[in-house]
Amino acid sequence: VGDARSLQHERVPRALSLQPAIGGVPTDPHHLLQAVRTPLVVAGTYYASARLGLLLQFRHTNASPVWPASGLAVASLLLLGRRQLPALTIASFLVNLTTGLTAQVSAGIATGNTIEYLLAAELLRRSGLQLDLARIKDVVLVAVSGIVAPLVAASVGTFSLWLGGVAAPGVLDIVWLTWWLGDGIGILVFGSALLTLWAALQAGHRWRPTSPEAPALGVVAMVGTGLAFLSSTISPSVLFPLAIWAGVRFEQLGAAAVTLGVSTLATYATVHGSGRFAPGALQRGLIPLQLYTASYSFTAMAVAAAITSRRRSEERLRERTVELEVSNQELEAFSYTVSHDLRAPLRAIHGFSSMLAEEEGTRLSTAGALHLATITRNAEHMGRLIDALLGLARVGRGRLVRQPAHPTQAARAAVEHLQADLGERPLDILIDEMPTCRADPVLLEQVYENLIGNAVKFTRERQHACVHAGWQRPEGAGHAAVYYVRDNGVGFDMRYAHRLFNLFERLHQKSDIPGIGAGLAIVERIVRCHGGAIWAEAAPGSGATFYFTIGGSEERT
Amino acid sequence: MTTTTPYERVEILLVEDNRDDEELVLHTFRRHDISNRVFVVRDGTEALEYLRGTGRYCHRAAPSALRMILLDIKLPLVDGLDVLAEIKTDRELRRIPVVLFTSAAQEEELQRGYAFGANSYIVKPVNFERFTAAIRELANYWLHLNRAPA
Repeated sequence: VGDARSLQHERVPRALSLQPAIGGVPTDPHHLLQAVRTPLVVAGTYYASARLGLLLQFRHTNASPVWPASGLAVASLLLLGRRQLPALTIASFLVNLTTGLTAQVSAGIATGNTIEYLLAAELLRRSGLQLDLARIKDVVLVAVSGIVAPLVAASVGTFSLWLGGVAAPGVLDIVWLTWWLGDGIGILVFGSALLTLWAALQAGHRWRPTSPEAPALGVVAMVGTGLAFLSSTISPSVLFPLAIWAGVRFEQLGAAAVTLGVSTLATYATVHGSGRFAPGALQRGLIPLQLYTASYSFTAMAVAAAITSRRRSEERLRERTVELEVSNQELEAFSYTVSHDLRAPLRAIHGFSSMLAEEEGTRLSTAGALHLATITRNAEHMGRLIDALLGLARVGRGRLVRQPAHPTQAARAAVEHLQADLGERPLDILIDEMPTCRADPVLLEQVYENLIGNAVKFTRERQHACVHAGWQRPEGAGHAAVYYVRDNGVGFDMRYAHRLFNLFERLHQKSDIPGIGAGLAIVERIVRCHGGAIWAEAAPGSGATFYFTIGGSEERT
Repeated sequence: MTTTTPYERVEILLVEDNRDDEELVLHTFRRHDISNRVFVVRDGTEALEYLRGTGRYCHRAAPSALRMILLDIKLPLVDGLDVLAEIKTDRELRRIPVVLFTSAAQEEELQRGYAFGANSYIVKPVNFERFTAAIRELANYWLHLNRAPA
């Protein structure tokens, strides 16, 4: 990926440099040559591809069933800019003039063509076409512009031919249809092939003949098309699996190659009177073949785009996963350093001040002994802060083991762990039967240990303390169950609710209640790691309730 | 190194690069009157030289009365876990109980420590009372309670 990116960075300026400088007319001969080089190449290529298309023209009307020139024109406008339009207009005029049409008719046709190309290119540009056609949206956009824009050229062109007396009134409908479909196929098949090729070159794509699959697909496509078009009874729809094969395995490049190959062979066969579409070709033009080519091309490209966009999102996901793993490793290294290197000096501070108190305590004044005790106490407090910080960092560091977890069991286990802190206090702990959820059982237990532990802590003053772990039915189908832990303790002021889950945040006076304010931060982090939410309701003096969802309730009790 | 323990009477080898931690440990030993049975080295290389009677310790015989090695993990030069691996793959030394003594619990370190054959893994408490209690219990266990092969 990195390689492709760097290639792209190198290439973009070169691609841009193809466009002549904006601004004043260049006077220097060298610059003049540079400025006209690209339009000359565009005009020349257009002329050549148009003459190629005219080999198949319908009854010398210059209406051709396959018009690669329209695809070339739209692709050059998109890739090289709108300034190529005059070159295209002139080339279009010359093509018609040199096939024996009058200047007036040629001018009319060239005008229609110019409007078509500009319309298609602008439609694509303004609807945000991605030039590598990697999304289904891009394929649909190309198809829509291939349907809409040629309406203009077909109408103006047919009208010009009629005015100039080139086309008989009886065949005008076929001339119009042939023109419309021919230009549309030009945009859909040849335009998108050029865009795909350009995008592949931009991305630094190299032909790597490592797998025999691509040549195999090519051979099967050619032989299959040849065979299918030998007989007039075989439906050419048997060739559609090849379009899918090409799109699935080789994406847009494969789709373009197979579509070009199949449509070229099919056209050749039909023109030479062979295959399903041949009968009546001279009377009705090649309209069935055109419809076939269009739908074949669209299928291959749509499949390719679906595959490409899926592959890209998988790649993005993989990149993201790697990034996450790296940042997790960094976090792990960081917390190890914190815990290791910050604790060593604290140990020395606590240890030596304790030793000082122990050995020299009698020689210290009362105030001195108090100061020393303050040092010791703070060192110990900081030790606990570091431990809490590490506890928080550890949540979500390892992989979450999501499995069916039982909140009821987790709450009971938490109460057992808390038993030592409960002492002899009269305390009712009620744990309801709750539905299972999908969560990491160890972390779920940690949630309950913190929430119930808090509830126990904040009901110390109560004569009859009550802690209740329960649940509420979700609001609607598909929503996770809401679990809660309720107590009748001191509660808190809802004005400070937004600060509840901050690390080291304590909504009570330091001396009131033990703790350092890490428990709820840890709970919030666990819940968030599970994709759940946590919130609280409380009032000073009348208890608090902590609600949480932990994602994917399995709705069983 | 810092102690004047007669070589043949050394029962505890303390491998510790942090002078403050060393003093905290020795303070505890002094308080319980076992400081005369401790020898201190300050990095992994020195520890191995001491145990094998090579390098700086080549003029002495390898210690025979060792009952416990108190091994810090984060050491300069040769890391504590590497020292542990060397000890536990040495025919002579592997019988000596090794207590890993670290500043911070780290799951991976703990796993590797036991995989290499550590006999115990202790996190140095920040709290001095708990620190001395840990040292006291360790010494009591490995020097008195535990029976070592003759």
